[in-house]
Amino acid sequence: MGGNPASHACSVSPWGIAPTSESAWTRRLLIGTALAFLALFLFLPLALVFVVAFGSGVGAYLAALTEPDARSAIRLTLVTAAVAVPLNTLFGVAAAWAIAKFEFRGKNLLTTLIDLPFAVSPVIAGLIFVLLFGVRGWLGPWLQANDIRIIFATPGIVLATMFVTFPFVARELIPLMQAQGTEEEESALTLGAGGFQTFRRVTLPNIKWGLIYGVILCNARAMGEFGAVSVVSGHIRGHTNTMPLHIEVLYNDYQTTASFAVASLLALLAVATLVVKSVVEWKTARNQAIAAREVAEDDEGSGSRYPMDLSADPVGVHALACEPTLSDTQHAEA
Amino acid sequence: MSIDIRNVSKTFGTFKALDDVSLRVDSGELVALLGPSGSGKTTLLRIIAGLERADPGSGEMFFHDEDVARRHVSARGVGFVFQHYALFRHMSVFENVAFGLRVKRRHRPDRAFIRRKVLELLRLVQLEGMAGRYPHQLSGGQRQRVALARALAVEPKVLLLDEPFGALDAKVRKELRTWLRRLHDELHVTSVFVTHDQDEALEVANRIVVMNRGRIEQVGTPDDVFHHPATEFVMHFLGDVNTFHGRVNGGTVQFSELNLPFPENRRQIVGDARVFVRPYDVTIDTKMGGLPALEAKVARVHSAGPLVRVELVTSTNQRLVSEISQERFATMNLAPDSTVYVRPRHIRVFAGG
Repeated sequence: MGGNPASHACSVSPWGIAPTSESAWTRRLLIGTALAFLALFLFLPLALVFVVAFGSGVGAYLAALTEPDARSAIRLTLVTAAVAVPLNTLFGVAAAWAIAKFEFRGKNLLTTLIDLPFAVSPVIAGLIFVLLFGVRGWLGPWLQANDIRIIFATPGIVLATMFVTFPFVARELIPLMQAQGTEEEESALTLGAGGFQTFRRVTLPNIKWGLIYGVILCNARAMGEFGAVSVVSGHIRGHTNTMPLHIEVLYNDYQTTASFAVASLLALLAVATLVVKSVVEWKTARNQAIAAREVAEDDEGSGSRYPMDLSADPVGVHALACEPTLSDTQHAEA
Repeated sequence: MSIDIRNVSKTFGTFKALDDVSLRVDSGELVALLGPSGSGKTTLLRIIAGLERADPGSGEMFFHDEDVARRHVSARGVGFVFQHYALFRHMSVFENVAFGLRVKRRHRPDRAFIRRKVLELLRLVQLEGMAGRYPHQLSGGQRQRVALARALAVEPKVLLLDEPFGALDAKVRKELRTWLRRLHDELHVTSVFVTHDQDEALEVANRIVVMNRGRIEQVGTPDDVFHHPATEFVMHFLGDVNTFHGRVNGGTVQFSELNLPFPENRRQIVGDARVFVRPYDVTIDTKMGGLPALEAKVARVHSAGPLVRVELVTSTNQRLVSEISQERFATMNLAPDSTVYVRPRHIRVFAGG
C-alpha cells in the first residue's frame, strides 16, 4: 500500500542520489544480509523440522501424531488455548479501552503491570502458581481439604498460560486505540448512540485488525508456551502434557522422528498464523471495496454516478497513512 | 431552541478552564466563541454538548428552559462537528450520515426513510453522488461537509461546531464559512461555533463571545466588538493595533508628544492610560498641516495587498504601523527614511499604565 510517492524525484543531490538514499551496492549488501540471516535462522530450522518429521516416512509421522499420549497432548493444548485466548481477549480489550480512552489515577501502574509477564521469566510465572496453589503453597491446604486440584492438573496449566499470554492483545491494541483517539466515539455519542452501540459500531470495527492480530499472537504463544506450563504440569504422560512438553519428553527418549512430527504441528501453527493474517487483511480491503460499489450502484437513481477512482484522487493517497497498520516487528512464536 | 448557561466553572487539575461563565444564546442564533487557545472556548462548547461535565455544583444549563445539566450526551439532542471531522473511517459517506438514524432506540425510521433523508442531506451539503465514497477518499472540505450532514441527520436542537474550518487551507476555509452562513439562514438551527480566527467570527456570526482565560470578555454583535471593544484584550484580539502609554488630563489625552481632545471620557479615566489606534486609523501626510501631528520616519513599506502597510518610527523611538489605500500611497512617494506627519483619526483609551 501507498507510501509517499512524492519527494523522491525532487530532492536530488548533485550526485544524482537522494540524500537519504544509499548507493546501489550498499542497498544490495543490506538486503542480502537480511535475507541470509532470515534463511539461516528462520527458514532453515523450520524446513529442518519438516524434513526430520517425515524422515521415517508418512506412516511413522501419522503414527506419532495419533498415538494416545500425542492425542492427549494435542487435546490439552487445544483446551488450554480455548480457555486462555478468549479470556485474555476480553481482558485485553477492556484494559486497552481503559488505558487508551480514559484518564484515571494508577493508569501508569496498570500499563506497567500489563507488561509484567513479558518481563518475568516464564519459569518464575509457573513457580508463582506453585507457591500459591501447590500442596505446600498458601492455598494448598485449603484446596486439598476441598479436593480441588490446580497444580499438576489442567486448571494450573490454563492459569499459567493465561499469565504468560495476557499482554498480547492489550499490547497490540493500546497504541492503536491511543492513535485513533476518542473523537469518533464522541461523535457516536452525540449522535445518540449508547455505550455498547458505540463500541460495537465504531470502536470494534476500527480495532478489528489489531484485535485479530493480537488474538493470533496470543493463541500462538498459548499453544507454544513451555516454561511456565512445565513447572505447573508435573509431566504426567497422557494427562498433563501439552504439545511442547510432549515434544520434550519424546526428544529425551531419543524418539527424534516422533518429537519432530509433533513439533511440525506447532510449526504449522506459525505458518497458519501468517496465512490467517494475510487473509484477514485481504478480506477487509475487499469488503470495503464491495460495500463502496454497492452503495454507489444504489445511488444511481438519485443522479450522478461516481466510479471509484482512487488513482485520480490525490486525497486518497495521503489518507491511507491514517489507516491502522499492524506492526510488522513482532513475530509469532512457534 | 435557546441555550442558557449560568455560572459554569470547569477545572482540570489546577487549571481553571472556565471561571464562572454565564451566557445566553437565543433560538436560531449563530454565535461564535472567539478566543486564543486555552481561553476555555472549546471547554464551554463541550460542556454544552455534554462531552464534558462542569465542576460539581458550579452551574446550571438549560435548553429552552429545560434543565439538561445532568443529561447524558446521547440524550441531549445536539449535533457536534469536530475540527478534525471525526468521521467513522470504516463507513461510507452514506453510512456516516445514516448513523444517527440507525442507532435510534425509539422510533427508528425504516430503511426507505433513512435513504431518502441521507440523500436529501447530501444534496444540502452539495455532496450528491459521493454517498459510496469513504472518508479517506474525500478532501478536507468535503469531509467537513459530511460531518455537518451527519450532525444534521438527527435534527439536533442545537448545532455545535468546534473550530470547524481550522484544519482547512485558507481558500477552502473562506468558501466554507460563507456557505455555512447561508446554510444557517436556511435552517435557522441554534448554532454555536468555536474559532480563534477573528475574521471568521466577524463574517459568520450574529453575535460574538470573546473569551480569555476562562472568562467572557465581551458579548456583542460583530460591529459592537470590533468598533466598541470593551476591554484591552478585545481590542488586541480583533486585529492589529498600535499601543501608546499616555495620560488623561481633564478633557485631553496626552501621548507621544501629542495632545488630543478627549471629551467622551465615559469611564471617568484619570491619570495613566493606554491609548490604542488601529493601523487604518493612522493617517500619513508629507506636510505638517494645521492639526496636531507626530513627526515620524518611514522604516518599511509593504505594498503587496489591498492596503499599503507603512511601518514608522517617531522621533521618540516609538514604533507604529499605518495602513493606507493604494491610491493615497501612489500620491505620496514614500521611501524608507522619508519624514512624514502622522495623525490618529480615531483613538481608544483604557485606564492603566
